[in-house]
Amino acid sequence: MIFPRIFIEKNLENHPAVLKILQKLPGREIRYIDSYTDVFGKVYKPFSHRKKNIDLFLAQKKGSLVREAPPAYGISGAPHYYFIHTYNCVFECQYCYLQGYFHSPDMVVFVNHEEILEEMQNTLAQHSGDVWFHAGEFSDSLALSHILDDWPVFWDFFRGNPRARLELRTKSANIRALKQLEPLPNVTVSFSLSAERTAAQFEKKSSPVRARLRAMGILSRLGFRIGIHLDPIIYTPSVLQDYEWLAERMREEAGINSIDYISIGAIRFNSDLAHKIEKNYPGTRLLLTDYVRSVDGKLRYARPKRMFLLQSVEEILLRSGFPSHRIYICMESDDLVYSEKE
Amino acid sequence: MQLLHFVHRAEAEFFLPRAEPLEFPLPGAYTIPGGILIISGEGALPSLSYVSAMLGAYPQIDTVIHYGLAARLAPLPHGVVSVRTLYQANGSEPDFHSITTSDAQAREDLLSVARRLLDPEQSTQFSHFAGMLDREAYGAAFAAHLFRQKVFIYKIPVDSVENGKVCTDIRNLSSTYSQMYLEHYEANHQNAKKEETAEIELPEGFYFTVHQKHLYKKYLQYAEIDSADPELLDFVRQGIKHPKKRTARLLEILRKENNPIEARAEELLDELFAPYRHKGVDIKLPDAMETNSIRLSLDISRFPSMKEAAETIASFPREQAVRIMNGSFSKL
Repeated sequence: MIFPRIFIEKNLENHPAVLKILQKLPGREIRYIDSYTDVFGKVYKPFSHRKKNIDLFLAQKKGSLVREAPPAYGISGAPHYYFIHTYNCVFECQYCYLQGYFHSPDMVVFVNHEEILEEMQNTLAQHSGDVWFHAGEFSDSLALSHILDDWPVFWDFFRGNPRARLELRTKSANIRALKQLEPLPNVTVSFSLSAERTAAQFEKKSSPVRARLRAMGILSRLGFRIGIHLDPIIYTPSVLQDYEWLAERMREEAGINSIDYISIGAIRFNSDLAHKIEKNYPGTRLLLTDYVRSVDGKLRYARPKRMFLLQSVEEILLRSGFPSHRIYICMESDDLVYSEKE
Repeated sequence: MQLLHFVHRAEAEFFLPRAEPLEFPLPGAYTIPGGILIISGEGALPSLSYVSAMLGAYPQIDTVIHYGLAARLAPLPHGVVSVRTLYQANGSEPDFHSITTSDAQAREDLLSVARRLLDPEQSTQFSHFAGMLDREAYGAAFAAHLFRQKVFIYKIPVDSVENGKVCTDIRNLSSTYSQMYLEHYEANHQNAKKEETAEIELPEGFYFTVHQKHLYKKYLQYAEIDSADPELLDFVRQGIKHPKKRTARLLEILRKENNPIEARAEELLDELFAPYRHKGVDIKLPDAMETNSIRLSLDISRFPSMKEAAETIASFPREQAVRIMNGSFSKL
């Protein structure tokens, strides 16, 4: 059973979002607490506890609700922010920075959407042009959307604020909730895609790549804007053939024109995450290959290898007909990415 | 060697017929087949002290096994339950740090508290974190963790320890519990075979340092093979006499096989630099080729004139080298 225990902050007992979620998760043990921080992250709960079951916390997010995104986060030229509506994810991607990030694998869902939207409105007012808001920094945007039912309220905001752009990032094929909503020109649903065998090996519990591609196709045909993240690219002997296959399927499913952008990035992580991966997935192939410490301190493939992969995948996309202005390289130093193009 | 830890003598009852008193400054220590048994008495400090003392005195102990009772805070299976993660609370709130046992299959958690818990509200609060409560297991696990030894914590959850009557019932049942511990121990730990560590076979005629052994194993695992190709080993053996140099060469070949893109870049750079190296130019690439900084040094006296030395430097194909370092080569 997913979420055998649900912890609810006492002041949210009758919150409509909470009642809606409880209706969709019947038969759970409900516990009322003063604040989610009294339990969540209070003790170091190892990531391995995911093997049994994780708890769900329904809470109110306090403090900063909308934060500036790190550099090279999205398409350049517009300010990028991410907003926090959930902590942790139900998927198990071996390279994910969320493993152990919150000292607990339990999931927290923040239901004070109105306050998040208010902060988005304030952020939007600080800029004159388009402003991007990304969901999915600390969780998958769609994995539980049929239970959380959290997007309709955001839709109202984005419908009324065409300058605000929303990105929902996902590795899920769960589009049940989205299909109930109208496509908006300023909302992009972005799918993270990997080579099929890489996903099967390193992205446990997430939707199979073919299912994600099908979901992407359905949304595209319904008129949704689509984004794609080919990130992280992980080297295998067949990596280029695998991405050729993937590019073709992307073109077939979504078509060239409904895809707003494609980001590409090679696998990278910091030393702390490397230790966590080693601990959580002993013997994983992910750590059997060689990494170097890059100029930003992150562990990456050696520069010739990762830049070769990025350029090769970019070439594959161009050959498949995706225009170059919609492709960007994620989280690489501009000096390296653009020295070739200049 | 195993160290069995009990809190009360009655709990160890079924183990004692096979135990012999151990000459040791602390009372309650026995030798048993395959290890040592200790009875520490109640509380976190005796538990921590006894287990630490034994681990310090007997470095051959590699596994700590604790058996005891726990108060049930949540629905749990009956019988002996293996603990997954241990927390501890000295006051009303649990500490952040936790210890996870060596039993990867364990599914239940336990919180060790400093004092016997009599407040139901507090017990509800603690049940957010763990389904069982005791006073000693964290101390034993902490000592094992400190000495970097394996630890297994087994508990029989009892309904409640909040009132005296239940405590009396538990005392009356201690013999039954002891028998359950023994049965569990015999089934799970007695004559337990040592975990076989997958040791790789090192090829003859090579000398590996610990680091090189680790690398060799990693390269083989990545290539999903059990050993290097015998033909490759023969090739290296025949070409190089010195075992240390053979190992270095073998590892270099395996590294390149596992990293064909990097290998290609290195090969292209070698080709590009060959004429300059031939002239005595020393070329130093940046660490991991992460920046574009390439250092050249040369001995001017090896050139017929300063002009020729300057021309050699001026003709150095820096841009081509940077392109290669930047992955701009098409064919693998």
